[in-house]
Amino acid sequence: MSTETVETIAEAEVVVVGGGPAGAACAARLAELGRDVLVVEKSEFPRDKACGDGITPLCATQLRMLDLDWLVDDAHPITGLRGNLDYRHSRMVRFKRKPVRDWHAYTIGRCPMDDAILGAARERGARLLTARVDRPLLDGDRVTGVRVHSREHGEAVVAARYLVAADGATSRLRRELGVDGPEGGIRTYGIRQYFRTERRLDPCYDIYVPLEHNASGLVGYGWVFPLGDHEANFGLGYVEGPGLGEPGPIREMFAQFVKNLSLRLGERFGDVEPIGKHMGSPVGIGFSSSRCQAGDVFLVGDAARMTDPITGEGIAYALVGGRRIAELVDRTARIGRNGLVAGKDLARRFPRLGMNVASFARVTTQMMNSGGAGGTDGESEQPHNPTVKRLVLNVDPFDPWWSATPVGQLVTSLDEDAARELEAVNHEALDAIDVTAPFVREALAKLLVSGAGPVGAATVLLAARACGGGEEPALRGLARAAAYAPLIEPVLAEVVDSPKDAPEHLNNAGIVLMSDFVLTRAWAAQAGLPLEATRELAEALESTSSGVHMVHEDRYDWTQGTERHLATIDTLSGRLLGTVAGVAASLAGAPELAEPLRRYGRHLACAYRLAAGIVELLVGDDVSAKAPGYEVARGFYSLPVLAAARDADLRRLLVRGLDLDDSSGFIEAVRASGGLEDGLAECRAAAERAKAAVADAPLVRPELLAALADSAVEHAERSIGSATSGEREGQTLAGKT
Amino acid sequence: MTTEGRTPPDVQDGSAGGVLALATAGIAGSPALLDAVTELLLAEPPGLEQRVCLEAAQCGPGPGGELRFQAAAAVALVRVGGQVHDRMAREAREEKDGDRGSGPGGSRSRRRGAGSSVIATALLLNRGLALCAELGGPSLDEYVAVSRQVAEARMEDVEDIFDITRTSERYMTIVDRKEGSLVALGAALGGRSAGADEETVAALREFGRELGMAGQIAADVRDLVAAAESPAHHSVQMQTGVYTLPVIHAIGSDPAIADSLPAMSSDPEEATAFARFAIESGAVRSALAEADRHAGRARAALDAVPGAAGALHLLEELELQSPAVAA
Repeated sequence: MSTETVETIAEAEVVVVGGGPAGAACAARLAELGRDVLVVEKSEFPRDKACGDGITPLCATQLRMLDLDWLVDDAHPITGLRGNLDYRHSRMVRFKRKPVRDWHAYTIGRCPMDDAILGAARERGARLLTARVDRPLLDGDRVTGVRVHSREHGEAVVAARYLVAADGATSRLRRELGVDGPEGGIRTYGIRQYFRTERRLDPCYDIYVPLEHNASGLVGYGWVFPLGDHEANFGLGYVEGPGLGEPGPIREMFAQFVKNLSLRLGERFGDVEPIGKHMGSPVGIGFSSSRCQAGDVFLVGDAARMTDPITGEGIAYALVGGRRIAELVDRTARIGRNGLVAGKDLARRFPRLGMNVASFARVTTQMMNSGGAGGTDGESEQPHNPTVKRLVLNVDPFDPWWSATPVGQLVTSLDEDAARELEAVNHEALDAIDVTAPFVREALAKLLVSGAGPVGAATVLLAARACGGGEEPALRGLARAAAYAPLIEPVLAEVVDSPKDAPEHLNNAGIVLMSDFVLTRAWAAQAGLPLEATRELAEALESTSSGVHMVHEDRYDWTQGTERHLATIDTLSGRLLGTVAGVAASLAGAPELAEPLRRYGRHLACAYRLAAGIVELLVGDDVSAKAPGYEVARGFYSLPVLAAARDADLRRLLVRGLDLDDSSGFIEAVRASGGLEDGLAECRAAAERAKAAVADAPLVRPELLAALADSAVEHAERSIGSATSGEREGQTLAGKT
Repeated sequence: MTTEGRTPPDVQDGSAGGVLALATAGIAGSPALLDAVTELLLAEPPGLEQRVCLEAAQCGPGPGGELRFQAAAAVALVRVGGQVHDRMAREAREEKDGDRGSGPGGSRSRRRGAGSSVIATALLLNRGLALCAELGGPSLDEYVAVSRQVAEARMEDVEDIFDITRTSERYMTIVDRKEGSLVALGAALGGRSAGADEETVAALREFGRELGMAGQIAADVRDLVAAAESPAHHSVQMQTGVYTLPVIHAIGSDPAIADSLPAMSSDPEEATAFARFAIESGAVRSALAEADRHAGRARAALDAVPGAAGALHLLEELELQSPAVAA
């Protein structure tokens, strides 16, 4: 314990160091939870901060949760993202407008925004002290307070029981706590300045790549984010480290960037005049789940390196992270430090943050300096890798929790214990992606929630309960295996479409490794199962592999017929889901029910897969960024498409190739041909077969299995209904099995 | 490539053919998949893990019988499955270097072929699991744990691409988790299939681990030595940017050279110049010395194990002292 005798000028149960978005959001939530919280901030607010000022949908949602609707409603709406290559080529991607009132994105200046968030915390009861925090005061790993320096009191102490470090990218507390571990020699910087433009600005985020210095490409980008019709935030950010090019002085690079914009894109901006001075800052990139907590000290926001390593965005992470850390502090205060650690919790919620930035930056640098250009092929200006493009560059809010999926909601409505188990399996499955290879964690987490993972796990948990069990420890491993195994197909499917000139290290190798990873995770999850069950599962996994091959053999084949299509589904998914359902029955102490459960699982898989075909065609999937008709465009035809392909006009559409930006005509043609009804009828028939398979079985809770089978049909019906009414479901449909 | 005209492989043959027979036994109804699997399995010579498995089966009281072939096939499938990404990288490079003018049909067909290979990988890995399930619980648990470790270590290799700050400790850890643990698995499963007691199995496992590590270091040295002889052999590690022990040692002797390494990915002549520097600087010799240390530990591990002559012979085949490598 500290023996220094300086004045204690304040005390609080929780001291939050830093009044930026992370600290203020944390303080606001702590105050809501009834905790005595003091924010210690070194600057007088309002104060300015180097930032791009971009506000994502997730960020806007968080601001509204703080009752800052007025701030969002007054913000400048952004309608798209324009990628600019070499100041010569550009491509605009329009954002979807959100169904209620929010635009997809906004810009808000940091000065008013940070002031408003801190104000929201104070309105909720958080106190504020203006002082610089020099170091934590600890008794072992127990917090006693912080040593501060204020203009009014000089050196002083603020007593506290818990400490939240939200003191930014240059966090003094992080260093003092010794959690400022190696980052692979990586440093990230950003600089920005406001400008007034002569020409009216397009309401889009403009991104400029490649960023170069001395003819060498740097990992980073320049930006122009409009804050109004004639006012914009100009800036650039880049990553620096061994083997990552040679950046010049940041101010010189920024001046050159602004000059390039004027010289080469004069028509877009006209004359530009600076408003105020430029402002630069390090950026907090390099999150590690093991460096977010030290005893009762919690780190959040830039102090925990919670900046998006791809986009450089940090406000949404700060707001969500701040809120979550507040809840963990509250939990720790109530029940002690014997539960969840902060890093693991944040890593589950934000799977992208933990990627190895150094590795990503090295490969990107190599691509840029060996003939490519900023990760694009120079012709279409698209990222090389469909997986990267679709799964990773999709920065929409992403919720990795299965409880939000339809099947998760069904389980919740059916059985509370099963819902709790499903959540535990969800967490374990996310934790098992314990690698830092770029994109892997995020891509797999997205596939886990948008694919058939939740369906497989739910089948295991509900089948066991239907047979009178449910408490057996081995069930969790089986459920995890059932969640991982269906990922084999989407992971492998990506590699076939890789463009021929794509850099192999980011494409094929990474995806193949992901497939190994998925398989070995699926295997490892089975540890503890009886040998016979493992044998059965191994054979089922073999069947899944063969099924993947059948799917690819049938690609672009509209003559395959219903019978072959159903056989493929059975090989791909039926055998697997049937096996896990049967094993679940045995584990639940009812081996006599294993056989009917096996049959049930096979038909259930068929029903879910057929439903998924309808859902993918009509509404797509937001999490994995699949537009309606995405699979059809890639030559994977679901049953409605095969049925509709009896029509010669529709076949011609298929041959021409589906335009994903305008798939509505094709979808209408499928609807008009009766293909949807045919697909739905097969789905219903499969669900009925599933229920019939266990109709005579002496189940303890047969209603669980019936509800699961019916839910497949409901997914399909709902998507047909929503597509008819012109709405798109905004959530994941876990319908693929 | 098709399977037409090939002599059906003999299961009792410890070579690729035997593995092929066991690996493809479950494939039915898809000639394309059978072709893809066959091509994968025959593209590479039998690996150390497979050979050590069969030799280790001589160290137990029983002959091992059919089980030892099953064990050998199972461990080989982990390696062969894992080699697909190397093969795809190679194909992508060949296509990039020499086939830019080909029409879209040709490229698409090749991509689809590559896709078949990847799907075949999943099948191979799952087939390996099914084969291993016949060997009993402890073997299956070990197989699953090692396969997972190997997959993770491959990921780590990918993370280290173009990392000029990679340390020899990091390299050794990955080699241990990848080649070391896989060959150790082969040795352990071979011993168990012949009914060896757990003490002998542990010694065989230790032998396999050290043999695997020595073998990998030697392979990495060979890659560099071949590049030093002529730019016609573009060093694989230079191309892929996954730098191995001799390269790491060479960087240690002249750190200024590190910055130019990533550019050698597409410049065989520069890679040759670097390889020559690595030999002259003593980096190759020091890497070989490290391999030799592991070979010594491998030999020591089998001191008290009867019937180990065949396994020990595998060490000699590494040719750590051969003039071609040590030059």
